[in-house]
Amino acid sequence: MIAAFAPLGAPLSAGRAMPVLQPYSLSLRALRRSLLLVATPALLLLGGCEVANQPHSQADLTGDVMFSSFQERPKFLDPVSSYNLNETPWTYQTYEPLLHYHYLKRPYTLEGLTATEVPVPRYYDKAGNTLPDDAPSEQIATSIYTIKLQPGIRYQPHPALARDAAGQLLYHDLKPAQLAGKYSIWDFPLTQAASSSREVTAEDYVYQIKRLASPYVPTPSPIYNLLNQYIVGLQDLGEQLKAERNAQLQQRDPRDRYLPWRDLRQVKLEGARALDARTLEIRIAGKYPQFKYWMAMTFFVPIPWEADRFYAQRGMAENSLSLNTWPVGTGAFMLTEQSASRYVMVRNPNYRDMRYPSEGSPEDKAQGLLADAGKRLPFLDKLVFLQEKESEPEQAKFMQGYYDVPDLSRIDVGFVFLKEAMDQTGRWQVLREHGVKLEPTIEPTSWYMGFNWLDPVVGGGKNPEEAERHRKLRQAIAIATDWEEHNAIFFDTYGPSVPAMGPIPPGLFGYRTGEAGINPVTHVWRDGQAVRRPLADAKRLLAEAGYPDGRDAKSGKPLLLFYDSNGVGPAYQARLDWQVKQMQKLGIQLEIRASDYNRFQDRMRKGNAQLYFWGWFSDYPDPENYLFLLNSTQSKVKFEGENASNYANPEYDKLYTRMRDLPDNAERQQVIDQMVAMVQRDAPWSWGLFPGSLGVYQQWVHNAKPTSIANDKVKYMRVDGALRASKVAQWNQPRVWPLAVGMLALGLLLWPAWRIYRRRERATARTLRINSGRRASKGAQA
Amino acid sequence: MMTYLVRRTLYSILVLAGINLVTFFLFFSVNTPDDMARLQLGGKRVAQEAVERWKAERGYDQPLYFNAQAGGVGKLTQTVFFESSAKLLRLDFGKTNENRNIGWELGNRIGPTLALAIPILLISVALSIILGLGLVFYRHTVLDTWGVVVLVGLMSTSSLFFIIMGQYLFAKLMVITPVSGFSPPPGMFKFLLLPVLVSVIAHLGPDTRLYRTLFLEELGKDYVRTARAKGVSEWAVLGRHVLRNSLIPIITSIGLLLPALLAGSILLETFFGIPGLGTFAVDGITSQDFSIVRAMVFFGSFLYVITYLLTDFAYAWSDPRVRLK
Repeated sequence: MIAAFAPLGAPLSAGRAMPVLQPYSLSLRALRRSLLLVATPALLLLGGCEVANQPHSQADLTGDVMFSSFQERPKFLDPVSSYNLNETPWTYQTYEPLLHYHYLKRPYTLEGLTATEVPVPRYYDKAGNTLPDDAPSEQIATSIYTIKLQPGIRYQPHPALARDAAGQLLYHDLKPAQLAGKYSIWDFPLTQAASSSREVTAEDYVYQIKRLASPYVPTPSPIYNLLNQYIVGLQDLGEQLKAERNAQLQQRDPRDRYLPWRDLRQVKLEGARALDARTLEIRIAGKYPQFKYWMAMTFFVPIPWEADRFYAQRGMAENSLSLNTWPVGTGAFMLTEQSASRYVMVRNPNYRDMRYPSEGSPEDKAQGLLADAGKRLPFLDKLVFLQEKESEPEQAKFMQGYYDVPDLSRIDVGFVFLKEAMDQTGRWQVLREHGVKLEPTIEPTSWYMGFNWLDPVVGGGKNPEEAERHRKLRQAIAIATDWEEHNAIFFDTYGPSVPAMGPIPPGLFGYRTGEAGINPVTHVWRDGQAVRRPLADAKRLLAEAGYPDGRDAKSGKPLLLFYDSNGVGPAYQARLDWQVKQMQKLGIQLEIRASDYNRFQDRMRKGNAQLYFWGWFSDYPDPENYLFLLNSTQSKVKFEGENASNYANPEYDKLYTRMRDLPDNAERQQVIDQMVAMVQRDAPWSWGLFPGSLGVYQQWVHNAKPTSIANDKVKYMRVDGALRASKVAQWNQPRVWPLAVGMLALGLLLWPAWRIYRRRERATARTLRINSGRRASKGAQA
Repeated sequence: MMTYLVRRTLYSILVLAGINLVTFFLFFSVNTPDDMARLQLGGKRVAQEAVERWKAERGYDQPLYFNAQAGGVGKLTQTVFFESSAKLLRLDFGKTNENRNIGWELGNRIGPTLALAIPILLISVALSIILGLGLVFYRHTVLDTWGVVVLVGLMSTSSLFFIIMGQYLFAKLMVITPVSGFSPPPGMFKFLLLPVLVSVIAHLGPDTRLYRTLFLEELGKDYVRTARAKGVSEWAVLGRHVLRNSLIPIITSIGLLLPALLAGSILLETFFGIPGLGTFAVDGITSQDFSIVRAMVFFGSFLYVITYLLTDFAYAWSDPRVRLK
């Protein structure tokens, strides 16, 4: 086999599926052509080698395969621990929670996934009497969710589930020696197995809920401390298992960290039980309407006890075999290959009959998002994820057509493309010619500058008079910090963002638009739009706070504030400089305390920050998930919660509890309005921005709708492999002329070299000596 | 020879133990086990209880150097330092914070690194020697003058520039190599071509300049004059006599280059997406994973020790006057 370049021998035409830069077998014609090519200096470097820019195989390129990138390897694929956005491309394709979000509907709408429908809780009082749906929250002692599971849900093939003809589990009594050289679940052959899967039962959900509390699970669950307040008996179970495990740890050899499998089927959990094979019951203490959203996350997926036992065998962890590396689920795809730089998932052969949604908005229809309505999912056979640590190669490969969607877990990549397209600079023409789809949207995310309520200068204050002065100082800073300017300058980072007027982002219930939506402390409504208050207002407030022109009225010293940044390096410096300038407008000196994220978090936990910049990515699309960030029971310093400002206002807390338990109706809107007005006035945050989101897709990607909430999106997406292959061929025709020019230039150097060589060879000893003497005398003169 | 080998091996063990101690001290001066746990567990809803459990699972719940609560030898052995170092002596690198086996990771990643390092080493050394000899042959001519100017230019240029320019020229403009990526053999070659080329060009400046100086120094010696007087051609003088007598410093420079290449070229691997040892080290540093950082430092030090030992043997081989005692 001789490798050569197809495009040089066979020009490729657009719109035709053609192999790109593929080696072809030796033929006389090809040989002649290859010899000619090798003769050219341009190809001397490349002669005899397969050189192509195509990073994928031709079969994958033309097939139903999606190519995407990732920056960091996923840390946790175990559904107990997985909570990071960058893990969602794997976890949400592998696992299926009870509920999920309708792929097309906005605002986001929950619907059953493995559950037949969204369960409606039944409420009971302390005596066990049934209460009506609109019963006051304080009367509700228990909420019971009865969840019916879909029939015929089966796990992916997995060695943990492999049984022989006699029904015995094949890989559950392995000795460490038998694990030698086995680092993938596919190193355990399934060919000898009579079955390698089974149907999901309600007990599998119960098992997973128990795992949330289990200290035997290698990595803890981030939401255990939240859910143990609600799921009846979860805290007791956690304590019981913890005590049990501690006793085991006392008895074992301190050098041996291995603990055998703990069968969680043997322990009872009052809050979760299987009524029958397809009916699950979850008991919640009190009323917690937001619980339904947690049921749409991977914490509530089925885990077979067999998988837990399989991975708990001695030697498995040493070989990196665990649910964190090799998940087992019922989703549309399953992980088949992983290395440091490449993850591959393929279609789960046991995936049940799921159909593409047939409901969507008129815009969805116009965009062709309903063209595949009713068709069986998934459309793709394979997902290939390649690691890109730097954005430059990632963008270049996307432009060449080798990524269909850059980084599936993120919707903040590609702002640079959008900016170029909007400004008609850089690669905008190529983007247009390539038909790249850029779909900006606003997803529920928030960035803000917070004030530490415990701080003696900007905090809540020790008495009403001090509280008032501090409030005015915060309000002055909030007016002077021009987030509109920030959004324009830092478009590459935050995209087409929206200045925030309060804690609730657009798209969620409770968000107000128009005049009713402005923050009256920082903005006024003028000519149909929100306009930031003039700097004079801020200066007046600053003077009233005791700092006229940014100086302490008593001491005359300039006001010095500290700003904690959660990042260091050039990427952050411009934003920090901008922040300093905002304060300079008021004569306030701002000292930046830039540190890495760990140090920053440490200062926040200890309450040592004064001003800080932070963000929140929502867990679920409910205003509660933003308003709880200012609830005093969530104080970071006191309760390790998510209220980083440690804001404390009993009135707000009271309204929060009321708002949390209300359905989305006028009453809830009214309560939210009161809460928002309260925090706008108190200004524990300078309401920053709701960043933009962007879906970036190649023209051959269909059914793509940008979302950061509906993470099981890949099964809905379709790729036209034939179109991709033809476009890639068209866009990547090699241009060897620069190489030929370079070689020619190098060749020209050979001419003087040859002449000098010839002169030297012909020179006599005398000539050489004379020449050397002349050079020496020139050197002396110089 | 045997005495020399034993002595050097004992020295090496001391050096490696010292490096292990320094690495441990430096790492834990900057990071605390709490930091490591919190970075690993994520930024949202992390409770101190989870942090404590994470630390206990990995043995980071003990004191770093001295355990006052333990009795007897336990004061020293029941510490993070001892427990992690004892494993290292058995060449057990342990697990990453993500519970991945480091030994297995090293085994997987050494392949791509070697695939990159070996051609870079061979080609850059060979090409630098040839160019160095060529410049010496054309000494006192315009070719030599401009050659040196170009070499100084190459020396003064950041390797990042070569990488970005290489990707621009070959992968974007000419479209003849992939921008980045890696594939196991047989598809590996096309991914390695550009990083190897870029690295060879980056090495060309300093190496050729060094070799040229070495060759010029040798050129003034008596044996060269004698060879010329005997009528030996200039190329033969350079290739057979000058090159051979310049081998010791050349071996020294190769000895310095080899472990750096084997321990992974961080920039090259990062920009070209090659899953080698360099990217592993970067991952360890960014994720504050002490096990990875220590394993990589230990591995790099081990390579240096071995390479210097081999360099000594190479001296003896290349110059019969050198005796290892």
